[in-house]
Amino acid sequence: MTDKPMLPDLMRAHGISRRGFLKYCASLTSLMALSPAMMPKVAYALENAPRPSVIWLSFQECTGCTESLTRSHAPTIEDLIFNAVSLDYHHTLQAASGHQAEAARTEAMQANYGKYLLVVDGSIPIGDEGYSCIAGVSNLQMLKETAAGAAAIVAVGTCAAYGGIPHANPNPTGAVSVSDIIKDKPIINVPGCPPIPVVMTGVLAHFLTFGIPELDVLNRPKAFYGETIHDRCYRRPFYDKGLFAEGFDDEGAREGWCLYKMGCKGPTTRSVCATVKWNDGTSFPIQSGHPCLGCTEPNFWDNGGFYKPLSVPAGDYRKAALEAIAVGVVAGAAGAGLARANKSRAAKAHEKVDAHDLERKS
Amino acid sequence: MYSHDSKSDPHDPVVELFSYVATGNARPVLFQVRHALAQLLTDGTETTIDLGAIPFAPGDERVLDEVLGNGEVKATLTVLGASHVQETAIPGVWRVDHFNETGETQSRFIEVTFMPEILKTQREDAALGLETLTDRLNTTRGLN
Repeated sequence: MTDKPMLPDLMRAHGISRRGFLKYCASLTSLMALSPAMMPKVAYALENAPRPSVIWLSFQECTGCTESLTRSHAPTIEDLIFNAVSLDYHHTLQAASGHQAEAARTEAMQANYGKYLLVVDGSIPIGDEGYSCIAGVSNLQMLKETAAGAAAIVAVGTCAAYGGIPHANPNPTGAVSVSDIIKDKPIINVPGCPPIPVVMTGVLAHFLTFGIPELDVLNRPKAFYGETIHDRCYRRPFYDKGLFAEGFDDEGAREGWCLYKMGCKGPTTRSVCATVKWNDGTSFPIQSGHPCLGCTEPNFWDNGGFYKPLSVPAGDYRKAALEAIAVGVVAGAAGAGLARANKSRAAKAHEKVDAHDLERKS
Repeated sequence: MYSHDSKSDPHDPVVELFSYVATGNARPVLFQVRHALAQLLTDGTETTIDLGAIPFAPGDERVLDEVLGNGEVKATLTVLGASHVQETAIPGVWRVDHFNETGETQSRFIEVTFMPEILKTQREDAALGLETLTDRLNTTRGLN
């Protein structure tokens, strides 16, 4: 690791001035959600930090996290790979394949034992290890042997952080998170489905400059998961005034009012979507008119309906309705009948259907 | 500092712009800028505000631009993509916007300072400049 050139040397070699380095540091400081006053410390750390070896393992995942990261704009993945880290294994991005790829992982582990950063996306099946293998090695075995020599682990995406969609009921593969298996290493969870690209690069940049960032109770960096989306949402003033959209095309939706009654999980979801946004800061789901699904929180897939307001008790509506009918609860049966009648009447009258109707009829 | 007491004047362009703003976040930021400018004059303390950390509706930035206005200095840096450095019509208050090589926004700041650091020639660059100039003079020795 010590024989790798430092970042300022690399920049000079590429004809980038000190002024360019300062610009890079200013954007990096902003990216890490640090105060601009920290910029000189970021510059100092980058001038003196060695470039760590990074091994990236992908398990039960959809490659959405890597897709998201490779679209990061500040700094780009190219910046990270060529300037700030030495990405020694990533089976989606690397040119090598098969035995050569696995040899690269083994070589990087041996050369940097105890010092490399391990990044994991995807959950790990423990129901039957054969559900997911790479080069004949089960995910569980590969994680354990690679984690043993890591300085720290970054669990990227909701699958690696909490088990994610593979973990959702009925969890056929027995999917679990990295922290369910590895107990003796520092683990930084960067949840999201996928995480915002600049949040992933920001966490890696923080590790490079100041080490492991301050984490919350779910091991998420406080800089990016310290506040709820609701806290920073530009629609928050409408919530405070009691102005809510109640359908996707009603007056409230057209006026851009709060989506709380549409099932928005912003009040209980910690992320910087509302400030950092997506696609080069263009927008985020709430700005585009859809409630937040809460994808940075554990078990978001199983936490009741996406369109059910947080004030409504969680639970499986359909199951509850069936149980109610089974035990002959008259009110329940009458309610179901009423809902069907309403649905039929709405269809005849082309009545607009809102999120509450979707929940009731599911 | 622009006075926003003129709500009674519907033709005031700033009043008109404020009518489009949903968050109301621009005004507190402008008060923060005023406080920072007072501090700069009192004890020389410089302040940088990261606009990327503040939730703004689309109209908020227009309000900032309208209230702060454009001043006497406008510079474009060409380093790792473009950077636009613009003194506002409030001397001592600067907008610094960084873009990458493909023109995407990297970061946006308001700097309250007598001179943004990014505009100054850095010592390391000047040292490299000295070497470059010396080399060029050596290669042109003999020319008038």
